[in-house]
Amino acid sequence: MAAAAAGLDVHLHPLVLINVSDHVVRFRSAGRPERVLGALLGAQEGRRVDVHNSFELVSVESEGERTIDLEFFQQRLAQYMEVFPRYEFLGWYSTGSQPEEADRALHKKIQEVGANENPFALLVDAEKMSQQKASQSEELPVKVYDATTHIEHGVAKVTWNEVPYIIDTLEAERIAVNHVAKSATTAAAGYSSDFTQHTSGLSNSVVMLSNRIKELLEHIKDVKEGRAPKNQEVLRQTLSICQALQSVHPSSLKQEFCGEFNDATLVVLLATLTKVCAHTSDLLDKFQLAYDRKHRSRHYPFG
Amino acid sequence: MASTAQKTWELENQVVPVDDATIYAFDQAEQDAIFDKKPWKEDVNFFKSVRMSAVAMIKIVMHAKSGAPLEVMGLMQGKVTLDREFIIMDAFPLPVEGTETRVNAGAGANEFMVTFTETCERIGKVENVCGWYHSHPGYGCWLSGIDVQTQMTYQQHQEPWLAVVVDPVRTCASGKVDIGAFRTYPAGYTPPDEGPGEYQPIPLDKIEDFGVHCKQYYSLPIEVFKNSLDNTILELLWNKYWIDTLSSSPLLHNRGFCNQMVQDCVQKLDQIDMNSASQSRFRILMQEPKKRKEDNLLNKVAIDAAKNAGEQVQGLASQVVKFALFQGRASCSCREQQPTPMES
Repeated sequence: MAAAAAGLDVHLHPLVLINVSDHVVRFRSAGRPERVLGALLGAQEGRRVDVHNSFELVSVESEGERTIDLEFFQQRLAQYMEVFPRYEFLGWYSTGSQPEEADRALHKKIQEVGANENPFALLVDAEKMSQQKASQSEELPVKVYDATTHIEHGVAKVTWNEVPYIIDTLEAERIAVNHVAKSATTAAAGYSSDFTQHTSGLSNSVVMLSNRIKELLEHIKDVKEGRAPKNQEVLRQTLSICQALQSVHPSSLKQEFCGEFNDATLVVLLATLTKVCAHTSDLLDKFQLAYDRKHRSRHYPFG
Repeated sequence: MASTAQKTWELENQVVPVDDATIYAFDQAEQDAIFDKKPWKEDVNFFKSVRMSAVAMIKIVMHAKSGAPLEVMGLMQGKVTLDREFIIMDAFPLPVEGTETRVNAGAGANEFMVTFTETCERIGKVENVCGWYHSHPGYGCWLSGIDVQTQMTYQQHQEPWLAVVVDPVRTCASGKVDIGAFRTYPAGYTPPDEGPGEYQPIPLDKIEDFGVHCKQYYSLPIEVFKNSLDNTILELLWNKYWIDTLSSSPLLHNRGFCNQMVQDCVQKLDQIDMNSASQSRFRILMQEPKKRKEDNLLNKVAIDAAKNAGEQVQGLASQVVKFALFQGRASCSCREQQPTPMES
């Protein structure tokens, strides 16, 4: 927690993870065993960092030291800047469970050439990820490190601090990732309406939420009966959540909600009216066809 | 902690396992062989389907979204197979922005493209550029007259070539990725009349452009594939992801788009009204009965409106669930005075 307060507030977007995964698998399939290397792009505002995108880099291994192809890096960076002018260079990614010795030199190098004085590192433990079954672990084997450089005995030294991060998505990104995750089912299960998909996603989330709450409840019960040690941090946060639930203004919220509800139902009403018009016009057409004078005189000669 | 939610989610993620090695394998000789054979010259419908990697899909959607409300454009890298398939491995953006239906790559973009693709080989991306994508923010996935022209030129000189169109605004509105892949027919070719395909709402100001050119191309179904690592990542992401599903508010995000849709419906209705008023009663009587249901303009507007309403109901469902979850407790104590939504 202390690190979070002092350091960066990192928001990681799924596209970056998927991009790294593509990079890793591509190298693995091509029979290139080396660690992959790439650059991270995103937006930075105060201490909040949003990692939106990434691109691959060329790494050169020489005498046990990893360096990057500078020309390639700068060219690629400039190209991405041209397309996404709001993004800036944030750091680099690679694979492994923790930073290696060689990474220090690499980091310094990137620091020198990059547009960012204090880049951070993202490490994806691809090995761990391919070995374990996802359901056994809750955490992504992804770690973010913030490096601090300080002078020791006249030499700049890099030390790594792990920084907590959260997964963040934009609306379009969420839909795209959902689409990718579920595309196989819709193709296999035949037609399923958007609404069913939407609501099943909702119900899954609610179940997830209720599981989490149940776990918390169990924990607090245990603490109360002395079976579990008291964790003040957890207890304080739980309390603040409970208080937040009570302190919202119920009346104004209800009013907002009603407004929204009515707006939506109004749109539904309009759509229904349009549909009624269309059907009425259809019916009229058929009626005219069946009962117009010419036809009538033919069918009922004495009417 | 085997929750049902996770189970269902995992079950839903049962993908036909894609062998990483086969999908990432790239054989330039094989591609050249296909290219020499040019099977698309003999059969205008040669390509039947598109397979797109997860990373390409998400990149395209994100690029389109970042550019909205302007149109953006980019290129796709991939390969073709003799199974009549395009396999799109990756996509990259071009520094091109446009308005309306006129995205066009200038000289600057060409230079960008050349340097970008030349260096791709160094990071293990050996696939050729085999298509382009651009966005149609808010007006659906189809090819405009200019797009048809662009694609035709590409198909003459750059085969194999694929066009992909994505609509970021509708993607957000419907909660489903709105994307389409297209190939044009050679000039002068008239496709057999297969009847209208799946109907999609198109705004009034674009309908003419759509109608004139809609017979000059055909669409290909897109399937998304994931590599083995993507699967694990996606499964793990769900643990963090359910919060976003709950906290997103589609009604709020899409208010502007919904207004546009309602306005569009009104304009279309106005037009129908004007048309029928200008026709004499006699001509209406003598008019041929409508051949197909789709031909009826009023029915089309009704479909547009219904689609919009469906999206609203979807968003409303999220809101109602959240209201029940987080306000249910508070309203329990004051049930007798709780207003039903229709009251206020």
